[in-house]
Amino acid sequence: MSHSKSANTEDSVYMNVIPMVDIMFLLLLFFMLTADFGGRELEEVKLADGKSVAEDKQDEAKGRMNLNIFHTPTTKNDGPVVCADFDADRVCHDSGHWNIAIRGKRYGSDSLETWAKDQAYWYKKEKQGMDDVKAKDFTLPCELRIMVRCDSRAPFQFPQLVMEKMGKAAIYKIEYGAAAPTKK
Amino acid sequence: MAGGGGEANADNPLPLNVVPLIDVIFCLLLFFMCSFHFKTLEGKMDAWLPQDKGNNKTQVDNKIIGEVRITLEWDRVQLKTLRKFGRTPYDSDEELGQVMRDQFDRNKANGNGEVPVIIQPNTDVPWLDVIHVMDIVHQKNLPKMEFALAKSELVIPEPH
Repeated sequence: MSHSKSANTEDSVYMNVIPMVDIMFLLLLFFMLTADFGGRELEEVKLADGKSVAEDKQDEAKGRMNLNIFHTPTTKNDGPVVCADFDADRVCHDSGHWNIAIRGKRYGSDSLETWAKDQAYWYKKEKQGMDDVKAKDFTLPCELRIMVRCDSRAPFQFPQLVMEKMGKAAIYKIEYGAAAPTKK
Repeated sequence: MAGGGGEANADNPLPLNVVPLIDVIFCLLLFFMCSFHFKTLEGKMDAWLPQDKGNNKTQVDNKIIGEVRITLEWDRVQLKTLRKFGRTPYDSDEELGQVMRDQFDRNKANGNGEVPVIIQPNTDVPWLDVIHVMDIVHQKNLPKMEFALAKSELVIPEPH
């Protein structure tokens, strides 16, 4: 026993980190691939469920603009407004709590109409091949597609305003976002 | 850190210090885990605005025979949406869908198959209930759907 090897802690206490690194790499890969960097395009909204909702294919989303109607975050979610109705999943009738945003930028009634007309003008000129005069004629239809992603707790007056403003710019291809039924 | 590969021994003559690597991976992992959220599977419903009936361009014809018009009114007392076809309220989705389908079939039999379903919600009706009626229209395979819109009185102030 006297010649037993004395414990060298630096050699004997050994942690094999290779499996941990492997698993961490896999986890990292998973979270990186599933990370949603489209946060500015798509605001956080609770979409209404629909049984007849068509699947929104990726290629159909190309060239389409997303318009979000969403509630200002409440104090429950560290936001600036107090709204018991919204927090309780009820409809919120306070129009000051709702926002319209496109690509992270918020719009008021007037600027929304200006945006719609600008987009319609550009689209008709660049994509539909119209000349300047026709592109500015907002009685001629514009083929630009707009996806309205409206929170299910919003009152109808918000999508109504959007429809009116899009109609003024002759943008008629309006799609409404809804939560698709889960596939079994 | 022992076993971090930073020291040479017989098994591992070329030491590689993986400690900074693990630190960085941990940071990245933490970031992506914190920013991760489960996305709802999103779909869509088309309800295109009429191309030839833009804002204030045409008079609404009040003499549509066999009109399929669903009015949605928000009941502030019961806090629910009343869905009416004519003057009759319908609570049941099946009944509402059937009455729309029956009227559409009657119109089609009379040669008026192009008469659309008109959804006329009040401004304070929750969007959820509007989508629900649109969903019923789609489920009943009614081909045309329109919104009856009054001029919006809503003014959203310009953001700063």
